[in-house]
Amino acid sequence: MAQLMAGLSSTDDSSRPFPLLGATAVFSGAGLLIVLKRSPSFTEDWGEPSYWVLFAASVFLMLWGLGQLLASAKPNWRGTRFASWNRHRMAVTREGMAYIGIMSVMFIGSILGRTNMLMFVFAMMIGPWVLNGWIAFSMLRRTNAKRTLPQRAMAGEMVSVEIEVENHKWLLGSWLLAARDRVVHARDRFQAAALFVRIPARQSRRGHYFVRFSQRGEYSFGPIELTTHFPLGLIERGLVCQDMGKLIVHPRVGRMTSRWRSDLWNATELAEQRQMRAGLFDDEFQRIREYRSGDNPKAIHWRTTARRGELMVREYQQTRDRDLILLVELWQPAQPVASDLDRVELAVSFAASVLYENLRQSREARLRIIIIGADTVAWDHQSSMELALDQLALAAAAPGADVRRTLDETMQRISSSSRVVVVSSRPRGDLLARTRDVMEPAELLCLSAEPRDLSPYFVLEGLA
Amino acid sequence: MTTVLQVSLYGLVMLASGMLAFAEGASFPDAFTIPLAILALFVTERWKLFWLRVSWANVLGIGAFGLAGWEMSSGLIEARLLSLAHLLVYLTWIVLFLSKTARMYWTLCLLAVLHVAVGAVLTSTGVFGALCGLFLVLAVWTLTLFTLCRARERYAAEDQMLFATHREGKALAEPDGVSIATFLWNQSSHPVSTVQIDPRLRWISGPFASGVVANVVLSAFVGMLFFMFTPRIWVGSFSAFGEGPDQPLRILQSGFAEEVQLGDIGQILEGTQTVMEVRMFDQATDQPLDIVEHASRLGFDEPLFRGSVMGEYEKGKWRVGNTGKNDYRKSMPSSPTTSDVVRQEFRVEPMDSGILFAMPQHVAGRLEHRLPQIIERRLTATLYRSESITGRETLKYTIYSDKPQPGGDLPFPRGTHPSLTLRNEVEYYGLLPASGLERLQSLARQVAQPPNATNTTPTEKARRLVHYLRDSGEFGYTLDMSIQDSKIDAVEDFLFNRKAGHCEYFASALALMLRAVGIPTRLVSGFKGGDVKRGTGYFVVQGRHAHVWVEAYFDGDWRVLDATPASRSDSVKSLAPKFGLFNNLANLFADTWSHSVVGLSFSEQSSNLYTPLKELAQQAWETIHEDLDRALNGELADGSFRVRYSILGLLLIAIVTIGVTRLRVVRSRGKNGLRSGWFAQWLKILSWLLPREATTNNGDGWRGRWSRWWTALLRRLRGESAEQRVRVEFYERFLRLLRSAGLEPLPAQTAREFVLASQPTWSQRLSDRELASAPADIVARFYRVRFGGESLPSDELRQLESQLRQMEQDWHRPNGQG
Repeated sequence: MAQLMAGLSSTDDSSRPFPLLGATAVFSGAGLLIVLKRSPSFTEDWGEPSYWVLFAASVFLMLWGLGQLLASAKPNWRGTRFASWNRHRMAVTREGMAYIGIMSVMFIGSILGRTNMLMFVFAMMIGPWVLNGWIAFSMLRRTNAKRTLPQRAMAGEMVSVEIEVENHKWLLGSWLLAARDRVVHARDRFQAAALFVRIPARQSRRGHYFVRFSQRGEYSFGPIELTTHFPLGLIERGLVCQDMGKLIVHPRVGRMTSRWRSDLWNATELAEQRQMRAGLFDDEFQRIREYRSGDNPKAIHWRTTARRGELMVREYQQTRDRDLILLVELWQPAQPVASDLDRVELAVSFAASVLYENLRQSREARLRIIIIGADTVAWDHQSSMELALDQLALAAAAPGADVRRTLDETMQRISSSSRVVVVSSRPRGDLLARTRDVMEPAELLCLSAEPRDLSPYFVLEGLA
Repeated sequence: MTTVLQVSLYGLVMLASGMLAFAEGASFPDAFTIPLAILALFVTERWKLFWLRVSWANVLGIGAFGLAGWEMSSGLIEARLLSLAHLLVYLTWIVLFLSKTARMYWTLCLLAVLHVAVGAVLTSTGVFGALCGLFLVLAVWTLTLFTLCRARERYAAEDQMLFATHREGKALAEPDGVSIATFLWNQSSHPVSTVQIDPRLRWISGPFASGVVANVVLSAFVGMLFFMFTPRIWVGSFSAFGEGPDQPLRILQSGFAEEVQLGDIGQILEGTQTVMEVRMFDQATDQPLDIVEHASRLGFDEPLFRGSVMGEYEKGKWRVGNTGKNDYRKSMPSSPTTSDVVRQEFRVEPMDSGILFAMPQHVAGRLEHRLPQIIERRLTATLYRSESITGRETLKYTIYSDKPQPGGDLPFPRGTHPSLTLRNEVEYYGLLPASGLERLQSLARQVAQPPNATNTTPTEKARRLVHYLRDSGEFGYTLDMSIQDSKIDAVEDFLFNRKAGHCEYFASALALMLRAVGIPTRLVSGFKGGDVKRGTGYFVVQGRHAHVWVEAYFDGDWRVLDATPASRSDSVKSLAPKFGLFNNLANLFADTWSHSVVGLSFSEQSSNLYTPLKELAQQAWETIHEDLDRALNGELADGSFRVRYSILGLLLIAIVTIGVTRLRVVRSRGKNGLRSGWFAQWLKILSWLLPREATTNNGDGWRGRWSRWWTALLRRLRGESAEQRVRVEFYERFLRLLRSAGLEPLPAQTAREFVLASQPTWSQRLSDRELASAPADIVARFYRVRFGGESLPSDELRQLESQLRQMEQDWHRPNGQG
């Protein structure tokens, strides 16, 4: 089954059929042109019109073939003038290659063996071949494909992308149309497809494909190429629909551990003080418990006491969170290796997880995230969380990223209720060397985005 | 549908095997594929009881190659090609019993096609052609089903793929802590393609079947076009049957060999198979000639096609013989020196003899599109094809002959050049066996030189002998070849015992009797008579028209003498096939097949296709050229409206096309954004001709006003509502600015959210700090105008204009820097 599906989806362009017809057209056109120029007698019997017809045919063949070759060699010329002028594709399938081979043998055999019977069989084969190309072309005429994308997705999650194919022909239904979508990311590229078995005339159908994105960042979608090799599977015709789209994939989000919450997020110095009433710092009701000696009598909950038959008091928890400033340094050497890239991604995921933790646990605490990478961008709790995730998704590491200056500025301006956390993609030793002499080190936690540093605070799900 | 596909595919294999068996003329091993295919269909495909392992298939494949190689080298079969055919059969047997994947199904299809191809080399009959048509129908049907089946398998696979994907995702979700491991971001994204299918869709339906039928019909039509227009310019003379002597499979036995036993021709005389077809033309005028009339003018009662010439007789056998060193063969001139000749065009069916036939008296000749020339034997003027040309194919050649002289050559028409010049040649054609023909010689002298005869010229002697054999009534014509007395010479047995025989006996008797009275003779075999085929105009000669006659040398020329009684014509006519409607149709198909398919040649393509098309194109070209010249020179007469109205019509069509296209594009944009194929190309071309939408130009000049008017018109045409048309110009201008940096508001995003979200981008672009708040101001004013219904005061408008202009300048500076 997987073998059957192989033709439908792929993660690179290697499965794209070779534009044999394009190459053949170029060589045929060039050959014809040479013959016309070198052997004027070739068209003498037919007169001047035949010369110009053949000349035009040879030029057309060469140009068309070149267009096919270029379209195949540079599939990323999306949205260009070239792409908009060269929307139709033609390629020969593997089965078609075998078919061509047999046809060629028959044709050559008939010419060498002077036998019309082989020529007859050749003609019987080339008829369906030509019709296959023509019908496939007709299937694609007056069709269009559109994509409906979610605006954002999370890395590692399965996302459904909807493709709607419209058939605007009056009479002819389209069979076996595959809508191939090209998806490109700086570190990732693949094709996905939805196959439409039949789209009746003047109707449209919606299909979808699923993707689990592995990379954060911006994925570019399109163009969509409608292809079909119906009815015989020998020639594949394609129509490029310039429907482009973009989707931002947010970084993978992990889970912060209880140690993170206890050590860094909550006001730990007050965490043990339980109040018997609502306090100054928006204390929250936590539970009702039995009365203990020394409890404030005003905290007795009389209704429960009556129901239980013993004194019960209300207990409040003080949740006065500390402000957190998270500096995310996305550094990578000029020639990064896999471990450098891993640290960058871990740092980003860590930041995203902190963001989610803020949302989940401490909506009132002020979180500020400063990302220092190729660009320096900042986010604070007043902006939407989506914006922060977008910034994290699009953040790029750079060799020139340096957290020190931003850290110094931050440390100078922080209040006593603030904590500063630096998570950096630098190796641990390098990071410690850079942050050793920072003021107020008690308010600062420096973490290198290495599993050893992050694991006490952070569990990243979805590791393979 | 899978069952239908399997039945179709196995049917295709069976049909191909049957065709190969038919072509080879042997049922084993080719036809044995049919029961094997039925067995494999049930045992391997339906019941899945047995299939070959790949290792066993490989072993059997090696065995198949070995067996085919042994067949090729052992000489047990007629030609190498048959060993190739058998190899295909053996491989088909193996594949039939393999477990089937899509590739195996394709392999079976290709093997079936190869069966047909090999069969086409082995035979050229019309029945095989009809079977090819049937094969085309079945092949297209099967391949279409195959394509659908593969799509359906994908549909069935979709659920499994999705299930596998979800299970994978669940496994990944198990927390494992952060560790040095392969992270997901180091992997590629995982796309899962799906199939959209309407559950109510019937895969094999009426429209599907009719589509396949239409596909078959059109395929056959296109294929025929290719067949007709592919120029038959043959290269080389490769023969799949080897370079050695022809080993005939199914070719006509003509009886025109170097040595002929009396009576051999009798079997041919009963045949109704077409031997050749002839057309004649006046070379000077290229007008067709009536062959019967032409023969009559030459002095023949029926058209006579001269073939083999034999000079030696002994014990009932005629041999071609040889007179010595002057009896050599030479190449015949390929073209006549004058156009005052008759052109005879022959098309001869495959024949084991190298003899070429022609009506006397030939002067030149050529084979069609073949380098070897026609060979002529100097002494007998017998024509041969080159030995390098196989007799397996239909042979076409042209002979040029002299026109008949006025008045003819009575009583005996002139034969063929050249005259006998050497004494030994005259003696050679006068030789009689030393013994065994004494009674014949005695009879010849009695008949040719009666005691009271005064005229003893060779002509008179010949006339008397011909009269004796043909008109005396003593001899009858029969195809019965029973011998009454085998101890005496066959000719004497004919003359004195049986007194009945066919043309071979009459001619032999006449030739020997003439020799007995001193006249050199030779026996000539060929064909006499034929039928003009209705419709085509060809003069068709069949086996029953085979004939033998005598050429006698007197008065300085070879003369044609025919002693066969007139009852021969009745016998020939009686042998003509009696055709019913079906037979007539079959005959018509066979003739068409033979002429238009098997025998199609470059000359026929030239005369029937290329030349008429060329003339048509030239005529059209000249007409257009001439009319254009006249139009450009202003020479159109008042009554000549053709060109003028043609140009006007073309212009009108162009304008209407442009208008309709533009409107359709506009409307389709509004509805569904459809811009496909040539439509989009047209749009690009037309966008240069028609005004653009007011997307960039907001000036007050004529272009701005023109564009705004055009935009308003287009919006009306698109059917946009009045609400949709409410736009705030300064905000749209701001949006265009952001769009140029790739920022586009999302469908569910408010203007304020959009500006906030895009802040990182535009804040980098704007160098002036004062402009940093401009986007927020613009959005605020936009809300006031768009939703508050306010009209901005003029000072605010001026401020807005200033801000926008400043932003545009900053925006387009290099790198966005000031």
